[in-house]
Amino acid sequence: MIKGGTCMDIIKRLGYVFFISAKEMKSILLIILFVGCSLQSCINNEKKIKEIALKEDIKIDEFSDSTFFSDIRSITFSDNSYYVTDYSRDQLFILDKNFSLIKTLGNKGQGPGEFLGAAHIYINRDSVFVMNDMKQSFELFRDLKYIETIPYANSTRPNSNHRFFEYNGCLFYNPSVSKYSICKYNFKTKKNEMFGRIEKYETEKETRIKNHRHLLRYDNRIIAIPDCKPIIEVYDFKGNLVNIVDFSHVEPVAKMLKFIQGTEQKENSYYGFNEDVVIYKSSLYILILTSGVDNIPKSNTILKFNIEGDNFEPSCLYDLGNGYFNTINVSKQGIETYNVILNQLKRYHYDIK
Amino acid sequence: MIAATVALNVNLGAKKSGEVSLLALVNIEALADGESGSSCTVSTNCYTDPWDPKKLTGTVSCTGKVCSRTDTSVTCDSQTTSC
Repeated sequence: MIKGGTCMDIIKRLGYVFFISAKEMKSILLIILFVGCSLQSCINNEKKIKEIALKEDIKIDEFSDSTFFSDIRSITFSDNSYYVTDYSRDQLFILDKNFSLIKTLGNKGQGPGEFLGAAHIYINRDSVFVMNDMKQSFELFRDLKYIETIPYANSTRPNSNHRFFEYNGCLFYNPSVSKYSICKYNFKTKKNEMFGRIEKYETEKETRIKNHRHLLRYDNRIIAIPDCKPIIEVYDFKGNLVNIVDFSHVEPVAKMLKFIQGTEQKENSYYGFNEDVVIYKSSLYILILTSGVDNIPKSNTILKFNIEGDNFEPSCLYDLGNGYFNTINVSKQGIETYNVILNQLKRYHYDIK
Repeated sequence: MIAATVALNVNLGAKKSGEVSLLALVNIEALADGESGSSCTVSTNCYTDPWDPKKLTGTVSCTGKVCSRTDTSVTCDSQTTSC
């Protein structure tokens, strides 16, 4: 099921081939053809993909009301407006296409519509869901008004750095448990079901910690992307695993993998492969971490995949320039992101064609 | 070296709606160094299990050039440490 094997896999296959060929000479030609195709696939998988430096469009380091933001965690574009959360200010900001402030929702606090760690945003039509980290809930807004607070399903505790989505009255998020990677939570009936593959580690704690996933929806599929594995899992909405795509062969990802393998492995600590993920039209964009100088990974590269059925084909790398970026959004306006080091909300020119 | 401690509930320009005790659990310490750039430290409290806010068992923290935190983890220079 895993697509795109490494060259070592091919060599192993070759050894197997010679063993068989001694017994059945008639199949030699077919086998050589098979090996040839596999080697070709390997070469294709390891080819260098196109790299493009994105050009800045606009950037701001304070809102138009002269207040500052300091810890932006999520940017989403919907209905000609940007929705932005600040984890420190504990507010949801609505901006126009030029990043001018239109409205501010919420405040720091534990009351209805208030935040204790405003994190990821998901918008479905007129419903705006915001993950509320320390309050352990989602806040639902509609027509720029607070509607309700939705506490997390019992015994689930999503990490607020990871994407979630809502579909047909259910919230889908990574529950941070050691047996499943996806929680489907019907917040009207308060019932939840869990599914999704888990990679087992030595302890229950390590298994729970190293199985976090971003969850995205694409048509009738759930796309699950672990933060510490270079893979993409594809599920149907019945919870069946449909495909796993391994992208460890993409050059900067392979270098990051090598860097991680050279570091000490701890039960409760790990290096990530990505900071954020987003789907726009028929492409997946992953803000990947790459190995940098002085053993400090960088976060300024976006890896784009073309979605073809249940497969994901790496197609381009986009360089955001100097800085460390923690979240991305792709819209008809361009690519939006937040530079943590310079505290800048930025948009880059991006032509999807 | 100039050292500055910044409490997370310092709200830059934001309106404030009341005191929140949970915020006292959070610390971000920023260390400014004129020669090698700035570094930061973040920490978060851990509990017996992630769903019981009453049973504090310790903290996790880290230091690096780029820091962030959630209620259950801290991340410095892309390395995440969880409760």
